[in-house]
Amino acid sequence: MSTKLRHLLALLALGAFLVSGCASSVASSTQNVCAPNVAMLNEPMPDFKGTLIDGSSVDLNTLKDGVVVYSVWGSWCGPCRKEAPQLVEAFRTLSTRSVAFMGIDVRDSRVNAANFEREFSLPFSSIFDESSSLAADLKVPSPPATLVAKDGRIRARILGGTDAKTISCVVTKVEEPH
Amino acid sequence: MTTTAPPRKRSDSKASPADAREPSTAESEFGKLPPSPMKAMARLGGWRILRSMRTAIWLLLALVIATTIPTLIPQRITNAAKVAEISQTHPGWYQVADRLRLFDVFNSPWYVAIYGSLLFVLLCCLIPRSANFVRNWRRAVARPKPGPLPALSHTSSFQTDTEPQLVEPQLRKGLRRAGFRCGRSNENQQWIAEKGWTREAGSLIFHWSFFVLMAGLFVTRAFGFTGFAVIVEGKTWVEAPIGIDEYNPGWYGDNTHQGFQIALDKFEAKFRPEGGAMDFVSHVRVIDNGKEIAKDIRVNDPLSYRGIKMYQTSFGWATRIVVADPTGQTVFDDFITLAPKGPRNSWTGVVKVPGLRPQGALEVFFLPTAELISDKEARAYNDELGPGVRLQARPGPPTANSPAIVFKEYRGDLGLDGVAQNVSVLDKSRLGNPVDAGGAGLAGRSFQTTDGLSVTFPELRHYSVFQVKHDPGLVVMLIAASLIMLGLVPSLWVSRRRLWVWVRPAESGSGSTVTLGGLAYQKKDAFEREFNTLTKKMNRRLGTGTEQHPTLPEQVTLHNK
Repeated sequence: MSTKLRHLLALLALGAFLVSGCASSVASSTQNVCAPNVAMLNEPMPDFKGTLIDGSSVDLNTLKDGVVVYSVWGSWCGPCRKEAPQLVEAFRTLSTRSVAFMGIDVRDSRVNAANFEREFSLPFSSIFDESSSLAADLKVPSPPATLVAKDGRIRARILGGTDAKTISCVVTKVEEPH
Repeated sequence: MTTTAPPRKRSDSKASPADAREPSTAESEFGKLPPSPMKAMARLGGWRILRSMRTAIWLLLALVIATTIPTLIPQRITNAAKVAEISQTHPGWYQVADRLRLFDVFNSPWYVAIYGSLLFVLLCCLIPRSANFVRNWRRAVARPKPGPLPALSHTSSFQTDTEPQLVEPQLRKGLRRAGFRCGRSNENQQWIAEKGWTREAGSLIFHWSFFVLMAGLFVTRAFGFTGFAVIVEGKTWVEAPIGIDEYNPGWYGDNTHQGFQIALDKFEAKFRPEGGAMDFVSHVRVIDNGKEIAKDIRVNDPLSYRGIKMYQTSFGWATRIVVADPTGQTVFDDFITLAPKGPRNSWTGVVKVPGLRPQGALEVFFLPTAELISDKEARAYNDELGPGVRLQARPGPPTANSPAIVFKEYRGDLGLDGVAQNVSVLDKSRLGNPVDAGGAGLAGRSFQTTDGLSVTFPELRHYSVFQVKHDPGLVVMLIAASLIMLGLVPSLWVSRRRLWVWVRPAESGSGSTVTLGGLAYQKKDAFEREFNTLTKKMNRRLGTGTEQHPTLPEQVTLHNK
């Protein structure tokens, strides 16, 4: 076989390599606390000033004291619809423990988000994060996701749908003194 | 002066391997077999197979064939919707193909096995060959054994008045200037000069570069990511997993996101008269920590910012649809992105209204230019759109001259609760047949459906689609590509040449006779000119020499060209 033909074939292989890929997998760092999709951590809460779904302004700095549960959702998101009643239940369960709740609505329109709030009677306000920049800062890859913060630091992240029992469990863990 | 022992005839000689033997194909390609344990493997035959070019060619052909499969069969990673459609329309064929991983060729074990084997075979070839090259490079050019000169394609001889002891340094200097490496002389003042080692070096660099390339690909696959950004005019997108559609992260995490935002201020498209897009551009602003940078992204002009690249890939229409329930409450108000589907210049999209009881959905058909047509034409066209659609228009040019939507209304269970769904795909399995159909012009009157819904089409925008990539291995791949070119050029254009030089006292008693013998391992025709030029140069260098036919002792046989 001539050298030129060998080089041609090698170039074909190069093309094959360039279009080829390998199996992908997503690294997970969850620590099996309360549920498999819960990660306990200690990260700073990002600064954010924006608006709620109803148009009123909000500053996350005002929520830096105590324990706050942040729920990331979207009206178009099927798993968020399943999770919403659980968030309502968790809110009621934890209301006696001075735990604040705040929703973060992503990739949505205000009208659709307001309809979602009304449909599920969400008892807490939600930030209208149309560009998802806050969710990105919170390292949420997609809704639904729940974060629990204490004194301005994110202490737990729950990726995927969750339930009232898990949220209560995580809040209890976060409330424990270090 | 050294007495020159007459070289023996070639027929009498025993082969002198360092002299002139042109390497066999196998040896020239792969070098000599190294000692044990490789020799032990060789005895078993496996090593030979692994180092065989035939094995490599078969694997390469298999790889090329396997790589063409995705051009014939849709792949999940790029066209999941089409694969899902095949699973519905051809379930038998789908099951077989899916088991063979034909919808995911590049991640299939058999594909990985083919290119893994190819690389392994290449490695088995390259290691001994490289060792051989290094060994030969470090070793001085062989000193010929006194005796016969080998079979040579070219010979020349000339006489000079200079004594042999003074001729040799002059010749060596001249040959070195011509790029030859010169070996030591034997006792007969015969020596060898070589040129063209870059051919083998280039070939080795070329082949090793594939491993550098693989390293670059590995870095990208391990630490990079790919995906798409779909941005509607006037909206802002964030560079993070939550903003990226069809997100394909690296194996070892995705901590490389920069979190900057892209605001799509305006999108412009120009069309050819026949309808195809001629040019399209996205006017964007990069928003990063309070800083804003304006940029126009075109097909061959991507945005490159903080290690992230955004390539313009396609665009489409986004219609704002407003749906109100019978009480007048707005239950849906958002832009939906439409995909080109169905008849030419018509687009389709989906509106899901899970808050309605029962849940509702609209399957939307959009015509940028709706041309009024007769009843008869309308019937034929509406049949094409499917049952339930009434439209007294057909799609005209792709530009939005008289935009209109038509839709089919469904009621029932969207299958959305608890399930992650594609927002652009309607699961009709629990919705039943359309309950109504209607249409609306841009910013025109709302359409009232028979069950009391009000549908309005108040606004039309473009959306733009970008491929988003982070290629941390790109620099490594660029180095590999440069090395491939660096290696390819000498391996294709340089040829190995060897000269045998013999300086001896002239028969007349004073001066010297210089005999040059030359052999080219490649490009033998081109060597003739080079050899003649070289002879003339050496002749001139040594002063008053006269060129003549070889005056070797009678018993020496040289193969003239």
